[in-house]
Amino acid sequence: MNKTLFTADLRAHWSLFLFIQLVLLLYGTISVYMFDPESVDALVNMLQVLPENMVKAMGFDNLSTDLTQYIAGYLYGFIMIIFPIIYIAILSNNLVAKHVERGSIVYLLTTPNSRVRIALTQALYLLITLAVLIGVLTGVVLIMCASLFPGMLDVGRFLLLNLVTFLVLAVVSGIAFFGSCAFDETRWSTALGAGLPGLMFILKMISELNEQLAWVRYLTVFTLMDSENVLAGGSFVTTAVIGTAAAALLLFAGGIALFNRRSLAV
Amino acid sequence: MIEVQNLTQTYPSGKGVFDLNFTIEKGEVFGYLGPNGAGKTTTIRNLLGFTNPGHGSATVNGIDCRRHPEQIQNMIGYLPGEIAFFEHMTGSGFLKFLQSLRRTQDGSRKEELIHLFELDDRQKISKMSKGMKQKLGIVAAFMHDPDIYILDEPTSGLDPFMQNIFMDLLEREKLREKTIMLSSHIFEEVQRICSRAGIVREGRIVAIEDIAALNTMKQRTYTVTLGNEKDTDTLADSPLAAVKHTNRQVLVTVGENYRELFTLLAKLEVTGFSSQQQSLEDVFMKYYGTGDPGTQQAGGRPAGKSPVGNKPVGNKPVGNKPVGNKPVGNKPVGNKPVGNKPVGNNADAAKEVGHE
Repeated sequence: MNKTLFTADLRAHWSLFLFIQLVLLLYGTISVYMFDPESVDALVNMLQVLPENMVKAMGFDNLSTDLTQYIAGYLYGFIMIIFPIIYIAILSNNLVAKHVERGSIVYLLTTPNSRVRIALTQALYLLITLAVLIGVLTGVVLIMCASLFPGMLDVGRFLLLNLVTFLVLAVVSGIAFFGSCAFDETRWSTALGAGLPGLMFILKMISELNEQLAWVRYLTVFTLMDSENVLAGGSFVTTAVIGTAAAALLLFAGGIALFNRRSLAV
Repeated sequence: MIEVQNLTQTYPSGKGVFDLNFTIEKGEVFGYLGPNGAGKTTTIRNLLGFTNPGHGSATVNGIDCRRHPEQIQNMIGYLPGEIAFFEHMTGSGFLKFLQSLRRTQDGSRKEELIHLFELDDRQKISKMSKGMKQKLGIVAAFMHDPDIYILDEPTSGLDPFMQNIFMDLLEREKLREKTIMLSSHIFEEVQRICSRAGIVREGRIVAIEDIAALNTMKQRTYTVTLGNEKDTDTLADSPLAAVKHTNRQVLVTVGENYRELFTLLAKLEVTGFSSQQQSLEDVFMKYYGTGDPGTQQAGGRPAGKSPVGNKPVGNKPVGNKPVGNKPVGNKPVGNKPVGNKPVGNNADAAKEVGHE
């Protein structure tokens, strides 16, 4: 970990962070603010007019009159996947592959900092800012719920949901970061870093369309942050936490090791 | 200080560098000359530990450049051939960033260099001109006062005035016994500052020469204008390195054999006599031809029979071509109609360059 590089990353990428954070907060606050057990009923009735599969694909099929389940269904089925994917894909690409493609990595490599240290700093920047994105949203939702609907949120379960969300997105980060470390050209790293998570997100939606396609859920990591299962707790959550943490670790370690070993055409 | 041993790196395109061997001693200024795409930058990439060599190794101060690149970096000031900075930073922000990454906080030399090159470091890098970026790259390479400089085409993008300032700076660094590797395709630069030069072509080092030796090897080519065609033929057919240019003009290249030339000219009707300066570039040109590099290594070396042949130039086997050989055989000029003159004196490949 190199503090100078971390600070430079922050200066270069704060606007992207801010944009994604604001979008998440906007959706988060509005959804909490809109919570009203009666109006949720009304919303559920309204959604019934729409084709069932479409509602399912949007992740709004389990809107509940329970605040925790309502937030989980409203935010964590769609918003908390798609916007972090955008953040991760753009950022991880900029952190390594873009420097290699442009040649500016030279000015990092010609300093007494090893490649492992440079890549590790970039990886930590990605993971730490991702944690902050989710952490800030979690905090704001907690505060809003405490003031608007005291006692109605199951804080423990909600925190668990956010932990699993972070870990699943850490796996996505690992994929994108690995791509960023592996390729000389950003078009390939983008293809992997944005393409694969995007594809898995689409697979998640497909798996929710009908029973025949339910098996597709085994092909996508986002199945592990299924809010119903996470909120239910039990072995599903244990599996999800251990599995995602291990996968993320492997992907980041693999990316850093590959970056350390390979030839850089700069 | 810098040692390259059997360094080979092949790219999928078939280009690369092949079996490079050279050593740069402490305090030496080594020119690394070659046309674009010859493999200069590939060599440098290996010296800085950016790439994995297929075979062989590069070491700096005994440290393997690829295995422990972080240990050699602060000894080296590297100026890339194609510079890419962190564009969102200002010039001064970038230099501070580098100082912090290098953990070198003394900024006095940085200020001197900024002043010397009139660098406007308040500008955002993305808004800088090519020349300004080059100056920034130079300051970045020199400000931590390293022992070794690796400079890849350092004067590109600089105006002649700044080029001069840069060369003066290099000369001062040379006096301070810094080790310098200057990669360039500009001969004057190398001629001015370097003590030795390696010439690389198509990924192979075709010669390593003392600059002093090359300078002595310099020859002149004269255009002799004659009064009639008979004398033209006489001169062109003489044992001198002479080539018929037009019906009245002959190009004669002379090294030491002025006496022979003038003895012959005294008998002819000479109406004009002018010289063409032959630069070091011409001497080098023979290594730059389009022939097979293999034959050049064997035949293209003039050192064996040139006036400076007993100088300890390079570490390549000296070609033992018989003197009377057709010049075309040990010249890479290919289809040039140069070789129809027997060379009876101590003519060597370098001499024939004058015909080009």
